[in-house]
Amino acid sequence: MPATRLSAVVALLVERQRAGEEAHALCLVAAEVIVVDGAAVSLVSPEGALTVVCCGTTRARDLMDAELTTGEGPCVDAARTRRTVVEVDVLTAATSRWLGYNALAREIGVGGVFAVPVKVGSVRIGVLGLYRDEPGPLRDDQWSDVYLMAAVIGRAILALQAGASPGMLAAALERDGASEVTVHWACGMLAVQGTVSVSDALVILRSHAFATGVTLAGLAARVVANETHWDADRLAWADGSW
Amino acid sequence: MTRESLVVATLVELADNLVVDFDVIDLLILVSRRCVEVLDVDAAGVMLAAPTGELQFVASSSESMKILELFQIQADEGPCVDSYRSGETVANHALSDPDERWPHFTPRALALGFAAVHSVPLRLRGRTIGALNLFRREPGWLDETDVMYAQGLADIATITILQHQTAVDASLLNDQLTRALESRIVIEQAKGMVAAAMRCDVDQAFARLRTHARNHNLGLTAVAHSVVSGAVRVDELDS
Repeated sequence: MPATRLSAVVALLVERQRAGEEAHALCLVAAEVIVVDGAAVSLVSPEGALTVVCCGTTRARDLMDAELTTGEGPCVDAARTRRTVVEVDVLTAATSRWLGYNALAREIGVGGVFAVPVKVGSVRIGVLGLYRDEPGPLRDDQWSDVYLMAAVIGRAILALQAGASPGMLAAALERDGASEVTVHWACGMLAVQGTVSVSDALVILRSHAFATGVTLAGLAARVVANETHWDADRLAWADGSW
Repeated sequence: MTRESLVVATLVELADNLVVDFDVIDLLILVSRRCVEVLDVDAAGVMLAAPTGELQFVASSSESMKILELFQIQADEGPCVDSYRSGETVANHALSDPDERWPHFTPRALALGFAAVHSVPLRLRGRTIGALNLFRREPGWLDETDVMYAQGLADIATITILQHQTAVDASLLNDQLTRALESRIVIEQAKGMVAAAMRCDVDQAFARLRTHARNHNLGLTAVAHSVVSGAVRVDELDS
C-alpha cells in the first residue's frame, strides 16, 4: 500500500533532516528505504548535463565523479534516455557499454548500479542513482520503493527550489555542486586557452582527467589554480600557468 | 527551508501520483493509527473545520465509543479547537478538574480515563484546516521526537486533505529550475573565459560581466550567453 510506505518515508525524512541538511537527507533516506548501499541525486540541465545535488556516501560521490569524468554511466544514460538503467554487475558488464565508467566503478569496488529519471508528471527534473556493494538485481518490492522515492525526490527538489529567487538555484540544491562550478570555470578558461567551444573544452578536460586518473573536478581545480593548462599550439597539456 | 516545510512540500502533489485512489478518510484513519503505534499516546484522531468554521470529527485510531466521544465533546471547546484557532501546537497539557480553559471538555475527558492531551494544527502555507489530537491515559510528557513525528504525520494528513485543492505548479517551478541551472552553467563558463582572457581571478571576471550587463541594461545571463557563444569578445566587455 503506497500510503503506508509513503508515511514511512516521510517519517524517515523527518528524522534524518533533524541531523543535517535537507537535500542530503533525500539520499540517506533513499538508500535506507530501498535497502541499497548508497544513493545520489542529480539535476539535469536542458542539454542533459548533470548537476549533483547530494551523495549519500563517499562511494556514491566517487561514482558520480566517475560519471562526470567519463561523461557516461547509469545516471548519464537515465538523464539522456529518460528511462530506467540497470547494470547488475559492473565487473562482468558487457564491455561495449561505459568502457571508462565501468573501469572506474570497478576500482571504486561496487557491484550493481541503477538509475531512474526523477520526474514530476512528464517534467524531467533529475536522476536518482543507486548502487550496491554486491552484484545482483533489485527485487520487485525494491523497485516499487525506487519509484516512490523518485516521486518524493522530484517534489522535494521543486519544493526546495520554490524558495529561491528567480534565475537562481536554491542554496539547498547548490551545496554539493561546488565542484561543478569549478568545472564550468575550467571549461571557460580552456575555451579561451585553446580557442575551442566550451563543449569541446569539456571533452578535452574529461579525456585528460580520465587518462591521468584524476577526477574531473580535481583537474578543473588545477586549471583554475593555474597549475596546468591546455597548450593549443602543441595540442597538449602543460604544467604551470598559461 | 525548515524541516516542516520540506516535509510538507515534499508531499504536495504526491496526491495525484500516489494517493489519488485512496479514500481520504481511510488515509486519515491510517495516520491516526500510526500516531498510536509510533508515539507514546493511547488515542489519536483528526478533526476538520467545516466551511462554517466548526470542527467536525473525521477519523480516529479506534472506533470505540469512548474514543469517538473524545472528539464529539470538542465541538465548542478543547485542544482541537484551540490549536485550530491559534494555528499553534497545544503541547503536553495535563488535564485536571476544575479546568478554566476547557470547563466542559476536561471533566468528560477525565471521566473517559484520559490524563493528558496534545494537539497539532493541520497547516499548509499559512492555512489551518483542522487539528490532529493525541491523548494519553497516563500523565506524562511527549518528548521532542514524538512532537516532531506528530507534526510529520499531521503534515501527511494535511496534504492528503488538500490534495485536490492545492497544487504547486510543477511545470512552472521546473521551468524556473531549468532556467536557473542553465544560467548558472553559462555564467560560470563565461567567468572562466573572462578570467583566462584577462588573466584575472573569477571574482574579478564576474565583476566585469556584471558591470557590462549593468552598463548595457542587459541580464547577466544574456551577457554570459553572448560571451560563451562568441557573439561578444571578452575584450569588448566594459571594464
